[in-house]
Amino acid sequence: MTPPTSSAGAPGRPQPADATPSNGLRVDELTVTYPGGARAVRGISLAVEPGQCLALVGESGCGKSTVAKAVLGLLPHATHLTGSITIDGQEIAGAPETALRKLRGLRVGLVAQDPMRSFNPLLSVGTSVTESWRVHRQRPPRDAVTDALTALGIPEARTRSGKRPHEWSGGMLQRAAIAAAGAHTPPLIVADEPTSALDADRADAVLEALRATGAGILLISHDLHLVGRHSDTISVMYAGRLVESGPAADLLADPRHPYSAALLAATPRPGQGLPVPLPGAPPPLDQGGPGCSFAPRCPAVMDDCHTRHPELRNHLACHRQEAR
Amino acid sequence: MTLPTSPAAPQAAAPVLDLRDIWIRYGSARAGHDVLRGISLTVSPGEIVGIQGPSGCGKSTLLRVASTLEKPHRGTVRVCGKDAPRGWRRDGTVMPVNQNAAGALDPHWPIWRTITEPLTARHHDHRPSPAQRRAIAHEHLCTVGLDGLNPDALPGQLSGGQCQRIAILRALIAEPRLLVADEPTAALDVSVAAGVLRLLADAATRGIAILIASHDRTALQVLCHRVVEFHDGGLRERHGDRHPSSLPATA
Amino acid sequence: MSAVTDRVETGAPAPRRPWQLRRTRQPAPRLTKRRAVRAVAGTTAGRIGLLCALVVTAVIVVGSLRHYDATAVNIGSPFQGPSWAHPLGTDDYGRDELARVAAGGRTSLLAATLVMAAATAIALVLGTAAGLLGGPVDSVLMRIMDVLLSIPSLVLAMAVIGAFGPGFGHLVIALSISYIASFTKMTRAFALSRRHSPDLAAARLAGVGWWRSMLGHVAPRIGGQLTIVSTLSFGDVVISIAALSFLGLGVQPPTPEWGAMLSDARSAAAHAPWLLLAPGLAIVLTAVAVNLIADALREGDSA
Repeated sequence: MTPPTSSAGAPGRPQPADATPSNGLRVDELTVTYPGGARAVRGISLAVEPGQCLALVGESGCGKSTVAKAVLGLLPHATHLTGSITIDGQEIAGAPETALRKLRGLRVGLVAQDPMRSFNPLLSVGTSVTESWRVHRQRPPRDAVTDALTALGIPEARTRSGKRPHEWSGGMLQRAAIAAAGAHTPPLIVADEPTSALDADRADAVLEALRATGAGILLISHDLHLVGRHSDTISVMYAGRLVESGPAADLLADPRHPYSAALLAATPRPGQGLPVPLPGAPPPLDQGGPGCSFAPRCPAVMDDCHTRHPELRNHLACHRQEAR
Repeated sequence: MTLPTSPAAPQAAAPVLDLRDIWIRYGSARAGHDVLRGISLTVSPGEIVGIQGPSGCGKSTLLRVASTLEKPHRGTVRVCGKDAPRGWRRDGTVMPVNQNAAGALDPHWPIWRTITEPLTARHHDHRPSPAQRRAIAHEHLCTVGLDGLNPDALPGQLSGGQCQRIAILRALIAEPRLLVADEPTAALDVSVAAGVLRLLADAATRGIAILIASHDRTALQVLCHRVVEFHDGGLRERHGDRHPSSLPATA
Repeated sequence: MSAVTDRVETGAPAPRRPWQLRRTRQPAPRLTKRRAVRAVAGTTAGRIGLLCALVVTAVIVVGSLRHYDATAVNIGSPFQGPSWAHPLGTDDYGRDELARVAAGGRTSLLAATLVMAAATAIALVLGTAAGLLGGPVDSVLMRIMDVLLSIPSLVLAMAVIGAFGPGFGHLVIALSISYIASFTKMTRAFALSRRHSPDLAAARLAGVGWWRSMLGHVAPRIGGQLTIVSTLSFGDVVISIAALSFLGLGVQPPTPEWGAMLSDARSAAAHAPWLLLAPGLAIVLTAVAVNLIADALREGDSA
């Protein structure tokens, strides 16, 4: 099964050098079961081409953060993982910690949710960013930090980098985190809800800075419209499974899965009246019935939905749409 | 696409909240700096006014001033025509809704006790018994779709969205004239946030004035009659989607 | 209220999932009786503490039931070693040592309990008032406490006793003062942290009276914290009482008290060492018992 790829990169972004199958991130039939028995991810497959941005979208508890942690090898020790995760051909799932440490920072960068927690409050921001080099026993090139910060749109980078994190605004601090993540120009950056802790009007600037690094990006978010503006492909997750994937513009204009449509209707849009909430709540992860997980809440539910789980076909997992 | 069906025009009655020439200062009287200079704002019954601005611009402090919990550095606050906080008797006319819902509920109180707490206020002649309070709480939980919830549950066992709806129930049971909401949907999922926005809109159609602060521009746009934006100590006002002038003319 | 029909929450409250922890806050676990018993009896430290407490209690109970008078100046034989008739021997006046240890124990424990009770009650009132009222009340109270805290507790107690004379009542008052100061500071800090909490604000805005909202939201939490802290200090108080009595500033003879008995036994140490051992061991065992049990309770509360 081929993972979805975007139809066209957004203008102005660095184009991928060569998108051979072994480049970028490939996740194949990933299943993650936490030590308590909760199955957070059930058979996810996706791919992030170099230079492209794939957004993984869903409500809290759908497993998207788990996918991000699995890609970085940051899951708790006793977690059970099946399937394959490869970055540029190198297998991550089940890799020893020493191998993972060599990957982190050099081949994979991470931008976490709360920038205030990503930085040591006692060190200046500049010092924290140079840690990206020091952890790998390298010395940062001259002015590397200042240049990186200026490239991401931070004014007066030299004086500012001497200040501590609490003196920076959230949006700028997150851009500094992006600079740290992109220090070694890794081919892949995982951004786990990078704008959730920020004011909404800063979010666009941060995501633009993220795209400006030129890396392939796995963007985890719950904000459909925001990712629609900045990503090439969107994959929607529900209860640990992928329900729909497709090019960003297409998916937002015409969502095929009832859940994607409901998520879109629940997001406020000017001139569209009050957003419509979904009834019910996502199912707890230790439960797994035979039918589609979304069936209890689905407005377009059929009899089949309760008995048979829909397979992902043509980037869509829905009985109703298949029957069309 | 749904259009607001309720009459959105607020009555031209006396304003519920009247803020005049408010100055808010961070820091001491001598060495601090003014974040808000000479702000004036009114909210009429049934009107939803949004306050938009980045964090640190004084939104939260202005909301605390509007709830009569804090005194502004300078300026007058009038709630229902009476000067606050000096001439003001707190009796549930102004009720808060906070960002961190779980933090706004007493973690050791079962939710029935929290929801019906305003019924134990001083100005109520008759205080219901605990059994009555439990029944009342259950009734109210049903109205927001939480009827499956055990009224004896503690806030720590509930999700953020459930806690926020319980906080709103507590606020509404006091029969307020003004709800002051500080980032009520900030930590919530998109679908749960939509439910909270509907609850607030519902309250406004019953004549409750709502003052809501958020950094989410689109949420304010669809919910409010007027949106006020803070900018360098001053403010800019624009019409929200529910403003009579924004609605398409009905046939 | 009009029904909001588009939301239906299914079934029981959603179970907590790891990534949802950041959205809700765990309430501090209540120290229920069952939990307390489990905390104390379930850990090794707690069991040792219980054992020591049992030994001390047994000694006090048995000793109190004996027909020998602990305070009379007995014509009986002084400095007798341990025997069947006198399991802990006799002291320099021929009095039964076991009876004296028991009586001393009653005195010490009573005094310590009174000190803790007084300090807790007063600190609760003062600290909550200072924390919630703020302003001049807070400033004045805190400056007084600061002055009291700057003097070491034993020195302060000695000063008070020196001014008012020794005796059981003055001993209790003197020792309470230091503890009042430290407990008040602690209570105030806690009250301050609760003062601006949103649930208290909502209650006040709804019109709930000051006392009612205080008793409902603030007092229960402070009460619990104070109990644990005072239990931890109990052993400290027992030792302080013994120390003051050792110096002759505590209870006066012929009322027996462990510290005083230790002091008296010093001169007879060479030929009657059991007179040193009995009160000394009693002090040690009591302090160990109280500290271990209080510590186990504190661990149980925070677990």
